[in-house]
Amino acid sequence: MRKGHPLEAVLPEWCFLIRSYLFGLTTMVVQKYGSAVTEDVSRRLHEDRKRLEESLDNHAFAFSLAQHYGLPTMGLDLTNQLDTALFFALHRLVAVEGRQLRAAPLTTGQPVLYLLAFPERFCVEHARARPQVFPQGRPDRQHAWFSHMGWGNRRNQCAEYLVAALYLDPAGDFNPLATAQTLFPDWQNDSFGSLMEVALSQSWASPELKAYLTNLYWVNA
Amino acid sequence: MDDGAFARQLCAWLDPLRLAKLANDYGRDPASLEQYGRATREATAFRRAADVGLDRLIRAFLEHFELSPRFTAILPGASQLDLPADGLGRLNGLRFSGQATFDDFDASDPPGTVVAFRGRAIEILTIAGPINFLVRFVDQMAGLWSSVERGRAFYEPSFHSELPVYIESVVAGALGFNIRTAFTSGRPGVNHRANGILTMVGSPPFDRAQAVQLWSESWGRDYPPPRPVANESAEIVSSESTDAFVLLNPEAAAEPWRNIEHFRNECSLYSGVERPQSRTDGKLLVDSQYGRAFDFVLTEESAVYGFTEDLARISYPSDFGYLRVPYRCVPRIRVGSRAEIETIVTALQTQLPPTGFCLLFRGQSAEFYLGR
Repeated sequence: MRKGHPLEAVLPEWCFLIRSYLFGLTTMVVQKYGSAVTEDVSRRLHEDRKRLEESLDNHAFAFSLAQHYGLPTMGLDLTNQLDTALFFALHRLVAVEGRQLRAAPLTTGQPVLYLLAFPERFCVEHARARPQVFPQGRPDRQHAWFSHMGWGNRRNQCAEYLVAALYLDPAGDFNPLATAQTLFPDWQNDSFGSLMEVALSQSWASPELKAYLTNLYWVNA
Repeated sequence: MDDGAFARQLCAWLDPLRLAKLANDYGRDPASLEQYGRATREATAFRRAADVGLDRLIRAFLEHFELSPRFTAILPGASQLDLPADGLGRLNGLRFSGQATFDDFDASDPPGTVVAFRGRAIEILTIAGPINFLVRFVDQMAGLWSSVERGRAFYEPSFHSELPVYIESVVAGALGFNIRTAFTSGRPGVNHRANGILTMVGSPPFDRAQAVQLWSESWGRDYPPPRPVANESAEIVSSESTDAFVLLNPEAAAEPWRNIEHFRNECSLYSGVERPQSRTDGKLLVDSQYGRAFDFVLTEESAVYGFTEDLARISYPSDFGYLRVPYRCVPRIRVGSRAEIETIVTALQTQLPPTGFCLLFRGQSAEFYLGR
């Protein structure tokens, strides 16, 4: 259960939504480019399909996508880019209206940067999990990683991989920082995010799936 | 995890491409899809499904599987493809009414066949996605476990949810491994964790001083002795409400898909635990934040994860205090520039093992602590 959502109850639908979207994209590519689809592209499409069909990557990719769009998971969103992490440490996301947020520079409080040493098998690099045909979006902009260990009776398991906590002097110089515009593409420039918006407005998503998707948020530049 | 939940979770592997093709084909020629057919699946790491529990898993899935209209509604919506309503309608509520057999295969079946399905073509093709995943994953797990000595303890699950851990534990259990979590052999012992931390596990009494001495010898460093034994009759802490501890029966705690550590009673060498009082109710106190289980009472002076002041003496120096995680102190460091951060990051990266680990970052505008 995360943020009131029984994650495992909605997870199969969430995975199926992602793969259905992917199926639609693949079909479109094949229809649009026909014989112009090279052997190499065709091979990669096949490999991605096989990977999601036959392995746990289906789950891993679905969790990673969910976490980085704000949907509840049992894991933690991380990055291998200092710029991205510093942005999140030095900004607060402030509600504007509905699911619209705004990034405001931190003026009070104690920003912190956690450094975590993870066994690679305990986390997912989004760029590697993402199938080739799946459009880049927010997780790619944030060089996202996802750790999936906080389920069952180990809700805070990720903390076991913490090696240092760096407390940023609010008067310090940490530039250059990433911008909200860079890290959070708007929905017109985020195809999968747009699909989630469509799902929220139409009847083909179940009430439970919609309730899950209402955690989706956007950050205005 | 019950069989119904197992079947529902496997539906994450329903294959949109196959279902869309079925919907289209049904619109053109429904009769052909209602004809009976046969399909097989093969494995390489085992010969008989029963040897690895695959027969039980497949039966559980087939008995409880029903294609929810939620999936057939998502398919055209998320793919943005036009699919015939009659074909999708036929798939709604579909169940597998055929038969699955796990031996006596046809001579013409492919080598390595471990299961054969006979039934309506539309039903066999609908379940193909989850079945393909299940057979492949069981094959992978069987290959992994088959090469391990049976006497070896059930290893820590590294998967991310109940489903894969459940499948793995069925396979390992069928192969004869001890799959119980929160386990104790009844003997005290030591446990060397991947992060280099040594802990005491099993059943008390623990000899903290000897454990520290062994640790010092193995690392070639002098570690300070533990503080004198704590007052093990100190006031018993009621941890359930404030600290996210839960009480479980040992049978429930032994189920691997609850994500509890393999060994129970794991204590720091710098804890206050040597001869703790046993619980009188026979239950285990489980830390639902970190998956540790204890069969003795915790007192104000147990400090099962180690006293912070004592662990601080063997931790990386910090002028800003420490954060606590089980068995370790994490240094808190003040930084005033990006260059300072980069220096620390570079230093830490050189300390990582050469392969299999990665250093990752998480920025937060505020800290959140556990209420303990």
